[in-house]
Amino acid sequence: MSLADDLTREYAPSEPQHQLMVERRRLPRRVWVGAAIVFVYILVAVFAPLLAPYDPLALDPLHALEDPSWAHPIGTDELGRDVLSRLIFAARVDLLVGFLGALLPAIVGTALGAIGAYRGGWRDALTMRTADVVQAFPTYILIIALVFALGQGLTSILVAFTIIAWVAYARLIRSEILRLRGLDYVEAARAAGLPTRRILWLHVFPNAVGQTLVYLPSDIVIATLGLAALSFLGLGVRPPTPEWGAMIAAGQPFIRDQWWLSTVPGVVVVGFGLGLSLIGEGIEEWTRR
Amino acid sequence: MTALLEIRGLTVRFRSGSALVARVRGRPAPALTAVDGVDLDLARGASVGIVGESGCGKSTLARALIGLVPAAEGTITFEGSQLTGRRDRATMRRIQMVFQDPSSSLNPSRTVGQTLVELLRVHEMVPKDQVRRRAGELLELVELPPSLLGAYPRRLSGGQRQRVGIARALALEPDVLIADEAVAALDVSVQASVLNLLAKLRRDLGLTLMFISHDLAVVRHISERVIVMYLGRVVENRPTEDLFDDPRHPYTAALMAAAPRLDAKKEPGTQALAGEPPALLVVPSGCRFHPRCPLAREVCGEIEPELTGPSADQRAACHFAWPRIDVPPMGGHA
Amino acid sequence: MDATLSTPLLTVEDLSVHFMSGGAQITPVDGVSFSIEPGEALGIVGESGSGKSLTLRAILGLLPPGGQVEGTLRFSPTSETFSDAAPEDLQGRGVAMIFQEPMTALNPTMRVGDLIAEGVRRSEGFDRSAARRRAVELLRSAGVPNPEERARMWPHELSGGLRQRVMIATALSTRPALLLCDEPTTALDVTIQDQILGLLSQLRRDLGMAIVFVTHDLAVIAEICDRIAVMYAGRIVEVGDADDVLSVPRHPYTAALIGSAPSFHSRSERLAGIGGMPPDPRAFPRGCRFAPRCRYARDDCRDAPHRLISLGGRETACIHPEVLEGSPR
Repeated sequence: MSLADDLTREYAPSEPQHQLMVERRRLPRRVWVGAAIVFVYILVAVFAPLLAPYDPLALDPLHALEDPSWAHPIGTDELGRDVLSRLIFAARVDLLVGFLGALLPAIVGTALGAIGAYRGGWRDALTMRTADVVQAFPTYILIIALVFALGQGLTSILVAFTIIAWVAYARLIRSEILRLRGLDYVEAARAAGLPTRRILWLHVFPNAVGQTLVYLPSDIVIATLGLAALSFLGLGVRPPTPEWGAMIAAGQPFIRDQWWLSTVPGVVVVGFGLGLSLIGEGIEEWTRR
Repeated sequence: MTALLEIRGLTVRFRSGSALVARVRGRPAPALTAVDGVDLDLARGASVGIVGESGCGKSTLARALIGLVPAAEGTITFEGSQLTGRRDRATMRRIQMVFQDPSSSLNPSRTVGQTLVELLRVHEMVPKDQVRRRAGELLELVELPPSLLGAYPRRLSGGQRQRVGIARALALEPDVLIADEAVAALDVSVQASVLNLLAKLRRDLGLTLMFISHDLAVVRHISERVIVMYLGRVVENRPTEDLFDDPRHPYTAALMAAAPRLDAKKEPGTQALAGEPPALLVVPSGCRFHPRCPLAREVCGEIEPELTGPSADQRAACHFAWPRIDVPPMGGHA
Repeated sequence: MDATLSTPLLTVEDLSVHFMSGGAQITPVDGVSFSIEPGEALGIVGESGSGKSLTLRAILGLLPPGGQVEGTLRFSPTSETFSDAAPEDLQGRGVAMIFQEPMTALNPTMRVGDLIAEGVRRSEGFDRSAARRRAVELLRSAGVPNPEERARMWPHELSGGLRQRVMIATALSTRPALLLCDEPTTALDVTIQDQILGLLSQLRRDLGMAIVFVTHDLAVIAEICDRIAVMYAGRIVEVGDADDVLSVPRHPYTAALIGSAPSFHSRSERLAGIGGMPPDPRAFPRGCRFAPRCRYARDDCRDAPHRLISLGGRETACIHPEVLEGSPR
């Protein structure tokens, strides 16, 4: 029996093994459910002018605090504006800040963390010590101070979020890269003379980014809620721009009689968070192959 | 005839504590010397086995040869020219390695084909339009079907992954192939076929093979020369048959006596060396093996023996390795 | 052999382990039966996927989540008592286990002496200081030098060999009649392995302890075991006296394993590997599970029910053991 004959059957994958591999690559169902929910929100934000029955800024003090009716399905607020229209337009602000408020720190943090972790030395030390300093401050106080200093407005809010939130991403990618860096296939790539940048971004990073992708959806929720909290404190978007958190805050004095003014925006925020959580959980399940 | 690879006084150190703190204290930076002054020659086409237990430095030696870790001292001369810390890609091609762990030696997010093709492209081993075909040829060389090019590592068995690892190393057409415990993680039946493959490739491609292992029986099967390492030093360097028939260093003898054997009944523990290898931070004085050596005498704790012997081919680092008549008298000893 | 009827220390009958995987049931341990006499050393050898580790863990009920055990266990540490045991019942009651990876088998947040003392207190009911003294004694009997000092150390401060001795000391704290060993020396250097094997042999002699030693290394079994059981694809395919089986195997798989191992003694041109791969537990072949890879396979092998047949002082599952006669070892 020749050596080749010896091995004739060694490499034929058996059927069940093949099936299992296909199964593992499919995203779990909840990702699609969550994505559908988020997609609906995105559609609402994009098509707000078409969907909203009224101008969200149109004042009508004579018809303030009306109960829900056919004309105003969620009633009117204390300045007579249609709550439904404001809710729809608020999606634009909240989704924008939510997505960018997570994506910008993700890009900055992941890049800094990955380079520091892979190259080591002063790059790593600089990144980590800066991260330590940032983390030493109480989060919301720092955000408030930054927004105060930079002036109210969306740009300041996004800048403040980026300055604070990049740390988590840096640490997340760093622990994964440190783990992968010592693996044999990375050493093999180095031994083969592949350039460092190529190894980092094409070989190590794709295997390290899993945890970041799991964290990202929940960070979008945090960013959205962060904006809502800032609005609640009066530091978010400037009125009269509609924003869910601001609407919750504004509805507070009327919670007894017109409870829907605060509650409905609250439910909307929760729904958004639910969709994102489902995506995040689903991705985690999928990476746990 | 000059050897293909000449290693002289190779020393590799790792930092083992904060260099900053040490400097503040005015002390030298704490370092672990994993490889300490190793001399070795590798002839073209030879098959050399490097044997030792954990901490002996064999893996670090391999990584220094490949260029993955820098040498603190000493020289590595390849085909007459010295290899420096920074090697260019063409030089790195010439010495390649097969790694131990089949589960981490391949990038899980890339197919076998992608891994091979990337190497072929980056090094421009073949014209662009022939890259895929060459990748298939490489798989055939290691007795795998070209259809596996599209497979992800997780679909392959341990033995298959090791074969892919060999194909990956061979993609760059190296002169020297270092196998770092390449079969240690495999079942014994699979190990046999991978060893057969390595022997065959060496014959067919004229490779120079450096086989690192802790398993003496495996080394005996595949190597023509055996080098035994202990605590960063070479303690014996002899042709395989000579070493196994007549070990000259007490550590080699202890290794052979400790290994369980199918063909000879052995009482467990009776040959046992006392204690464990000391931590690399605290290297014993004189001969590094003397605290555990059953034959140690006073001189062993004072003077470190040289790696020497009746010829360049037969060397051991022990004061009592060779009968006196073969060795020129050493000064100052009884 | 004397005529007195001796009760085996442990009898395992028809042990099976099931898992559910993607809607189908897989049975990585399939109807394994064996027995051990007091003070005896039984080696279980097999490659990956043979089910040898799971078999051992099933005895103590230490299966991963989702694992179900079937079968009968009978454990009789003294010649009179006779109990039908469920696996978890045997934990801490005369059956102890040591594992392969000393790095992960010891709790890193406890000092070594406390680890052992806890086991002692549980099984013997000592008070704290008596337990600590006993822990030091146990460390000494496991060959740990300077046991008083070592007892105060943390696991990460110890080498692999020392950690393995600590594990042995912990196992001894329950005064076991039977010690289950799951590849305890595979991760150790060969000189340290020799020390640990020596220690286990000595403890067997001194304490009359029986051991079941699971490994993939035939030579280790040859060294310390009296009897050997060879497992393949969830079943025992051959069992008998270690020297006998290893010199004259009567199952093609055993013969192939022996043929694959590089021999210390001499150098052969080619090692005889075994073509093919072990079968996937989700799709075990009918009949003899080794037949697809067996060079001597015949047609009736694929329908052969699994039975151990007595043959010359040992048992084999091969229905055509005569094919091995006359082949050089």
